[in-house]
Amino acid sequence: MFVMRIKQGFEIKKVFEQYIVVATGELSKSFHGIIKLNRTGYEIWSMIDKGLSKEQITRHLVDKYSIKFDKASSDVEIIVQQMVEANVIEKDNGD
Amino acid sequence: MEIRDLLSKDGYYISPVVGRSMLPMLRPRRDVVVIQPIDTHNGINSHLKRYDVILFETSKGYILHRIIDIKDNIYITTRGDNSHLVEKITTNQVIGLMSGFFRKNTFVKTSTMFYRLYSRIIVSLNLIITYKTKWCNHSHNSE
Repeated sequence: MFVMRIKQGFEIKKVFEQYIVVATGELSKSFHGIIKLNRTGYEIWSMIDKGLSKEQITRHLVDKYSIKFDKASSDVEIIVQQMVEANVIEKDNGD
Repeated sequence: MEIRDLLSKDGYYISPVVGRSMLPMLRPRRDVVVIQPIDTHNGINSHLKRYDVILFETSKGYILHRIIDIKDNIYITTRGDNSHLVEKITTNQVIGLMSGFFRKNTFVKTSTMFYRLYSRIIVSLNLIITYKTKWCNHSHNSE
């Protein structure tokens, strides 16, 4: 099982009711632009930031929104995959 | 996508600060500024005023500096808080106005009394330092 970790330098800001991720520090030299998150995206981001696993995040969403596990799991998987492709989170095998 | 396009699409532009010219207020690659578009009609803008921090475009690229003088709502003189050099621009070059900035997780609005007071003090201090530097250089050259 791997551990997800948000890369150091990414910060989340709330601007005009919108959650925006920006790169600061050394990371801002290579990562230009912003990432916009909706409310669910923000929640998932915060949980990854706290070190929760995909399964823990999925269970949290199931409990909070009373949705089916498969649906929540699929949504989490999609968002995590997008974050990996955007080079925002790193996967650590936890070895 | 260009900053102008993002401003017209989203109504704001957010970015970390690059460069040291607005120290000590804006720390490079640490503080994050929020820029909003300004309304212009025929190159004339009545909203911009002295002490505002604006993002503008020059042949050297984008610059975020403070207005220290504005004439006829068209001719603008700007300067970085940490710089003695001024830029002469026109309203047409202005892309947006800084409406606030993030210092860590705190958002500092430029509309607050504290910020407005800070702006006046920093511009006055910069003026004193500039004149003192010029006077010292003049005295040194005269010797």
